[in-house]
Amino acid sequence: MKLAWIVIALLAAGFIGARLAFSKDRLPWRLRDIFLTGWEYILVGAALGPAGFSVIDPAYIETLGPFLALGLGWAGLIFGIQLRWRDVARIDPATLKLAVGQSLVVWLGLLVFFYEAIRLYAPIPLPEALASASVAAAAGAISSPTAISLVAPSFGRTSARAVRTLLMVATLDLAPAVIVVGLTLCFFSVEDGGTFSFQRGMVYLSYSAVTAMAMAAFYRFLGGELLKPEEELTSALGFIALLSGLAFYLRLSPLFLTLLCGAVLANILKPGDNLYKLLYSTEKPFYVTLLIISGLLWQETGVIAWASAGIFVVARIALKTAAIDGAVRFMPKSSRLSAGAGLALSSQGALALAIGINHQLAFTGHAANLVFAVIIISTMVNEMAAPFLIRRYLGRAGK
Amino acid sequence: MTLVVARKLALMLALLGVTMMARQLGSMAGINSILASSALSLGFLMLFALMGGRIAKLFGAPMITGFIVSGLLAGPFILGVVDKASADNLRLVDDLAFGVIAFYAGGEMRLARFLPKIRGVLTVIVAIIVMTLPLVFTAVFTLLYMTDALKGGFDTALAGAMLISVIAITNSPAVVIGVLNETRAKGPVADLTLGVTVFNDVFVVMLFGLAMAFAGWLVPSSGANAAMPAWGAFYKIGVSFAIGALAGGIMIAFFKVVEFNAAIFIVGAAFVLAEISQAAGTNVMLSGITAGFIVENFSSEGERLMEGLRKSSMPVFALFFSLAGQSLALDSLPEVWVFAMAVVVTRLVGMRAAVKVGVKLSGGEAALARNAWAGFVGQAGLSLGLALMAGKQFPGWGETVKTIAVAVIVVNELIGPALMKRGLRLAGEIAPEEGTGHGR
Repeated sequence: MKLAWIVIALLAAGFIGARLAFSKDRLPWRLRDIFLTGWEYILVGAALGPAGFSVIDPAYIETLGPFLALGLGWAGLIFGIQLRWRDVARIDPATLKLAVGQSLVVWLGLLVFFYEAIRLYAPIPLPEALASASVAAAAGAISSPTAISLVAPSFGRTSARAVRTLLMVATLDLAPAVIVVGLTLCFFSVEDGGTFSFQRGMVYLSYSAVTAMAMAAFYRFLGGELLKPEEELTSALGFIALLSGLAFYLRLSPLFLTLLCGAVLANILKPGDNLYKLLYSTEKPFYVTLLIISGLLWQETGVIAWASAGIFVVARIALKTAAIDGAVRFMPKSSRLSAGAGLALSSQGALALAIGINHQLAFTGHAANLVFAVIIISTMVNEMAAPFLIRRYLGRAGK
Repeated sequence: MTLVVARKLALMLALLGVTMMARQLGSMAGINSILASSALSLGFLMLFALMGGRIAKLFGAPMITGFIVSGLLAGPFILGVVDKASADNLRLVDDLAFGVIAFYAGGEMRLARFLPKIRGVLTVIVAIIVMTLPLVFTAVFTLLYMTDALKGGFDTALAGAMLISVIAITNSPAVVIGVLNETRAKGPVADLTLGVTVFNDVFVVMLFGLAMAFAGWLVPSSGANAAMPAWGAFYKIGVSFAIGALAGGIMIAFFKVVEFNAAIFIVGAAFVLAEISQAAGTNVMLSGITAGFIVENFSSEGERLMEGLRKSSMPVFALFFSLAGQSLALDSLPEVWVFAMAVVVTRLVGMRAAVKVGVKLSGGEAALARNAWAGFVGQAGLSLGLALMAGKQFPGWGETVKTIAVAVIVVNELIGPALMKRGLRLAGEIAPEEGTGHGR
């Protein structure tokens, strides 16, 4: 009984949320900015789940697993299919370097911070602490282009170049993070407190690559069927679920595997393939549903979680700003952004949450709960603050 | 044709290979996670069913036959790719499918189209009750009494035959909607099949309530639960309608407020309704049909409802029917096949005769009288629910009744969709294919 109420709540809130989150035109702009990207739906989920009023039992939430796997796969695939080699090759190398470079700097900085925080909080084996810290840092390293694209229209042509570069950086810096998550699951086993094995990592990495290529070829072959639109939807959903199921079976990251597969598909499908239309048309409801599910999965609400999240947010922004400022200072000719642009990359978005969920499904225990709590709190804070910070930066860039 | 089928079979084999290999690798690595297994099963079933459905279509059968057969192949009795635990973890889809099917049935019931046909619909239902039910009852009672299969003598055989014959006159809204949705059939046969299916549910629920009460009275020592009096059925129907009316009103209001992506909202609404019905112990089909009927006939949002249903129904149906196939109790067939065959044959004969007489009495055309019966062969959800209820209410002999009924449902579920599509084709009501889709 309760199980379906979860789905009811999720779908209804997801649907209304999708409607409201992107059309808050009637609100005063300051208030609109606070709720611009719909982070409040995390609170809706949290209120229903164990972090709130426990309306929904965690045991029931667990039974949503297969459908959650589908959602994770969807998130990975939608990013992966944007990685068409011809388009990636056209990206300005300086922007690419900036995106990847700042993402790696932030990841490294947060990895150190988080590793220490986890070691202080939970006496867990070193490899597990390292794996958890790596995942949390990856979620912190990414930026979301959503807030930028929602704020940008209120600025004129004067900021167009800055907006373009910001969007590019925020889109591209997802890749290193998802790759880190994938590699973490390949090299660190989740059982027996976690162990690191290079050999295992290489084997699992090969599994990921071979599976992604084989499944992309399978989808291409499947696409040779003359499918009607409703059959296309069935085949896409089935394919994503199968891929995510394979990932869980092989102890790989569904996000990573679908991203890899998406990248292969991006290079073997036509640019106008229906898969693109299908994924983009379902983006908003999926996004809001993911926010609510994240809230539902949030368990750790203690002081340590809030304190760690607070430090995490500050450290992340400082690292982003330092990384971009460093690039501006040391590579002034090739940098397309000005100092302070790191602030405009503060939004974390749904993929950070997906990384957290991926981790939560793979690992269990205090450390995993702490990681997830920090990701969720920092995402909320960053989504709340991002529109103001983006406005501030673009205002200056325009001048 | 051979190449096209071979290609689809190759895809199915590839899918099977991938899934089995993943399971093998997983078991070698000691992975025994229900999450991994059910996520893999979810993807496997959707794709396997889709391919199965497309192969079925090539042979002139409806896609849902392909879905069911694919599920059956994947299930524990044949390939064993999808085990019970994984399938149980996906049962969430059942609630969703019931809601979607019910909305669809209600949404198709446009008053302007159905009012002139209501006499024909009711006449056919009465004919089925008056002719098919007694025919099945006579055959089953004779067999049960002669073999003493229920081990309780005359009264128990009488009670068992009564329950089986009431279950036998149900037909499956899921199958009817699945075939109509797929074929986009329009015409007298499609209308009559849908109308009878929708209204038949009401009569069957009432008759079953009466039959259960009567069986409890006939065999009082069987441990029957006396809390299922006949009035309970009437209460159930009344509350089902009330819930459906309320849901219909809320849906209209929602459609007016929210402008895009009706498909997602409908999915949510289907869950809400299924759960409320479960909580209230009412019939989700009746509530959903009422809700769909109200949206279609008392607002301007009917087209959005139907469009949303058309968009969202295929993945739901593929999963729902393949799960239904996966759970078909093939092991019950060897045990009770004689009884099951007797019911299947007398039911077919009875349905054919009853529909012919009903249509003639209501002044219907000869083509309608000849072809409409095929739509009433399929059985699924409601019949299964009633069979399970009988088994639960009457421990001992009720279990045998359940086993016979389930065996009958297995056969009818497999042959029903194909027969219905054939009937619609013979009546010339299947719309020509709108293009063939597109590949890569």
